[in-house]
Amino acid sequence: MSWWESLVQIRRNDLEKGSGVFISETEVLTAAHVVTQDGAPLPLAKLTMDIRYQSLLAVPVAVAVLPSWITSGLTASDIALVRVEARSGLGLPTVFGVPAPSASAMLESVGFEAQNDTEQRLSGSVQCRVGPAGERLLYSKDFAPIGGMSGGPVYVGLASGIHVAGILIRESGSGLIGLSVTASVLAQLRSQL
Amino acid sequence: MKPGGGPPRLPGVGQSTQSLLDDYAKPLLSELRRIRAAEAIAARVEQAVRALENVLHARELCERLTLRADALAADAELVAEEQIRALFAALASDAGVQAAVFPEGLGASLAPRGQLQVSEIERLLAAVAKSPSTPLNAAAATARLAMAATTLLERCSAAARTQVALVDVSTAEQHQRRSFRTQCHEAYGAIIALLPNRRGKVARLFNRPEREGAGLGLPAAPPPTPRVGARLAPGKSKARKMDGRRAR
Repeated sequence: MSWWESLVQIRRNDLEKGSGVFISETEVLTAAHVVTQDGAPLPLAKLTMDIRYQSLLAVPVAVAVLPSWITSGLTASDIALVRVEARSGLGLPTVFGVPAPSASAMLESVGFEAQNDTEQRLSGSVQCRVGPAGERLLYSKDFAPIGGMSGGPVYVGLASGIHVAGILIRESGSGLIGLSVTASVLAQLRSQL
Repeated sequence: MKPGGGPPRLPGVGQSTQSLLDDYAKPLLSELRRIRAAEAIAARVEQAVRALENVLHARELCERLTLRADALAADAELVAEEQIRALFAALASDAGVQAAVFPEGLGASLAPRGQLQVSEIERLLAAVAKSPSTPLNAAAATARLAMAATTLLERCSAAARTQVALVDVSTAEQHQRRSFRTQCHEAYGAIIALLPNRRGKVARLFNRPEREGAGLGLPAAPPPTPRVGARLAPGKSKARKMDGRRAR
């Protein structure tokens, strides 16, 4: 019932790993590079989606990525939505546009480190910068995702509960740690499913 | 009072939210789910339990982030102090400029904390800019100090914002705790109406668990110590009571 029960570890058959989070009973938000190979979604049979804190596997049904990820593999579009068979009883966090463009906020992130499969939590001040195509990029000087945490949620605690602000992406060395999830990006991904 | 003759004895308001959830709310919810024809009541209680759990997690997160923000601000403060020392050292070759920039000495510039430290750095930078001649190596020190001040300002603002967020979420938690209690009273009334002949059982279901120290989350009280100045039995001394064991 707790929100963290909706955390997912994604394992690929090539032994690469990533993280994700349920944002509805049928949708797992993650990074595109976790569920694609050379821009194209991996065959579903090659993905294992482990709902770690429920000791259950989610069954993927479809993978949606942004067109710009398929064509150019832009880091700014490294986001994916995986439709899975419905899972009830998860404490789902709300997706919310935090922080606002050009603003900073203290945020926490979580994911499963690939080497030891352990949960890692990193936190710090995160700044939202708007990219050339309007994408919202999350930068931090305080932490950088570790391998396996890609796709894990970046979140904040508000009076109404835990809200997912975005997802972690591959460590780039430039301070870019993730992408903010906005309603328009979600709508675009949902339209692909 | 007869069992079920009054309102249920809910957990005390001093009980932590975590303990309220673990010791009362979740067991109550699982019992309510087992009562036939009470699905709607159980669903309302479940909603209140979920809301309480959500706000608890949000508050815990805010506490973690507040600690982290404070730690980052403290780190930034140390960096800023280091840069103030570096500027002081860089100005050492020109005692006149150093005295103009640090009129009350290095200690006075290192003393302020947080936002006040930022103000002091701004004063130092302005003083360096005003001085007619500054040593060459002071330029780099000034630039680094300006960067340290920017970072410190960001950190202090972040720490202040997380404090505000923590207060907001804590207030929401209190509100949710009250809502949960209201929901319990309503559910109690509804179940009594549903099962009028089983008031005692329903009351037992809703009453808080009877446990020592429950409601406060405190450990059991230790046994009392002997009275100070109490008379010892004739022929006995305190030293003999140690039985050869020595306190370490």
